Amino acid sequence: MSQLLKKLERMSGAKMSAIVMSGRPVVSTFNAEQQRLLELSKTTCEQLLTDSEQLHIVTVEDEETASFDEVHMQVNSDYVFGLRLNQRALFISIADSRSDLLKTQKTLRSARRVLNKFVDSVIAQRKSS
Amino acid sequence: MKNYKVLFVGSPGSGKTTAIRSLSEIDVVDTDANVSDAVIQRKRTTTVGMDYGRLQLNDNATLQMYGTPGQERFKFMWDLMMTDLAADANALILLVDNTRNYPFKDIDFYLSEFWDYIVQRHFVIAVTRSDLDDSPSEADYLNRMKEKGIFAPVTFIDARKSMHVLDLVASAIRHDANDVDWSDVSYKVAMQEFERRNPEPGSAQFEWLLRTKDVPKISSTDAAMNVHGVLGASQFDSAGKMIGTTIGNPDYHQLFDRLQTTAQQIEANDTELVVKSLSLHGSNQDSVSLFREHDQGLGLVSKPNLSVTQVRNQADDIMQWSEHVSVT
Ligand SMILES: Nc1nc2c(ncn2[C@@H]2O[C@H](COP(=O)(O)OP(=O)(O)OP(=O)(O)O)[C@@H](O)[C@H]2O)c(=O)[nH]1
Ligand SMILES: [Mg+2]
Repeated sequence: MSQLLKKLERMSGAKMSAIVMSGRPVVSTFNAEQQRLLELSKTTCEQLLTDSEQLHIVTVEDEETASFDEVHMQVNSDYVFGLRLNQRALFISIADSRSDLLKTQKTLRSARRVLNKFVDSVIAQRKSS
Repeated sequence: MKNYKVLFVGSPGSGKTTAIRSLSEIDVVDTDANVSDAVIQRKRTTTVGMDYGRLQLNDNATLQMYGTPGQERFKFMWDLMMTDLAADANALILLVDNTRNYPFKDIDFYLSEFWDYIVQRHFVIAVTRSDLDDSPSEADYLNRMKEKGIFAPVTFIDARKSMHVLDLVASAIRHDANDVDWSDVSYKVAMQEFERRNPEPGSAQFEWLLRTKDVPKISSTDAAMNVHGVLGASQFDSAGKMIGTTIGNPDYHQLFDRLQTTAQQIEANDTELVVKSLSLHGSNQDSVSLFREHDQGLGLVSKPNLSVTQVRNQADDIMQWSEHVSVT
């Protein structure tokens, strides 16, 4: 299943990525040394997205769709993208802060549908087993 | 006929155009445009094409000077110049503006952008505008370079003074240009500067000098509001305390507060980590971004169509230029 992530990494220029559900990575390309960064990214993104939901700042006319669903963080030379997927899953992707971040962001955003489908399939699998 | 080439690089306002104009015998093509939002009106003009100047060194040798546009949105020009026009340059001269808030950050940036190019030729660092701000000092620069393991000469110059620029260029190409009598060139350049000292009103030189006059520093929130697509800005001190804002909605203040505390907590838990930025985005939602330096912070609310790189470049630029926040 990490094939999907690997492919996305090649397209987006990211170094590693993971899908996190209920606080746990279900797929990940982070190696053992990078676990701390994954942990940090996961908790930070989760926290901030939940916090911002409570504030519910509406800045556009369309109140229904207005919400934050993406966290970015630069720690040292790593640039963390955290995307909220459906079923409250989280997609984490790390790029080098000097790389083409616009490309990474665009690619990740357009991969949302595929990632959501993947999350759905994991949930379906869990239910059936 | 021998051609010696040097390429000038450096941040907007570091004096590339000024330096090349001060030495060139031909009128430098004026590709400077009035600054709109980008360099936050810190400067009245900025180069949008490239600079080119020429100086005859003797009957058989000329010096060609190329200058990059400083702003990062013209980065494609840098590549073009490195691979084409100035691909065979003898030296790279990095101009560093000492009045910027983080001149070392500029050095790091240009070192990494031009690294492959630098290692293949002579490389010199020249610090400008030190009459306006004398820190960091020459010793600070040398220490910094030593720390980084880079052995490049660092000199302090005034880019408006042709003799300073000539000295700099000569030191950069002297090894290659051993057929040049530099004292002859010095005499010629000194005479040229003498003649140009009071340019005719209405002449190209006069007009350009008028247009490039410095404007005073402004607060980072004011600067941010000049940027197209930025809707609001807050300025923070080194402790993360808000010291100025253009934002009315208290929800945003609360959000910036969360971002600040989150960043501070991360750094408190692991002292090796530095959180440089933290931001929230949504496809139908204005972005909320916090940018941090060790001595100041900048919070921006921006339109969703402003890209992540655009916001970041603008924030870097604003923090480099803004009226400095003194740590109390
Ligand atoms: N006081 C002082 N001013 C200087 C010195 N060197 C250059 N300047 C001024 O600083 C400004 C530099 O502007 P430019 O030469 O346009 O800078 P640039 O590097 O070409 O900038 P971009 O084209 O935007 O990348 C001019 O107003 C110069 O007169 C110096 O040593 N001292
Ligand atoms: Mg210029």
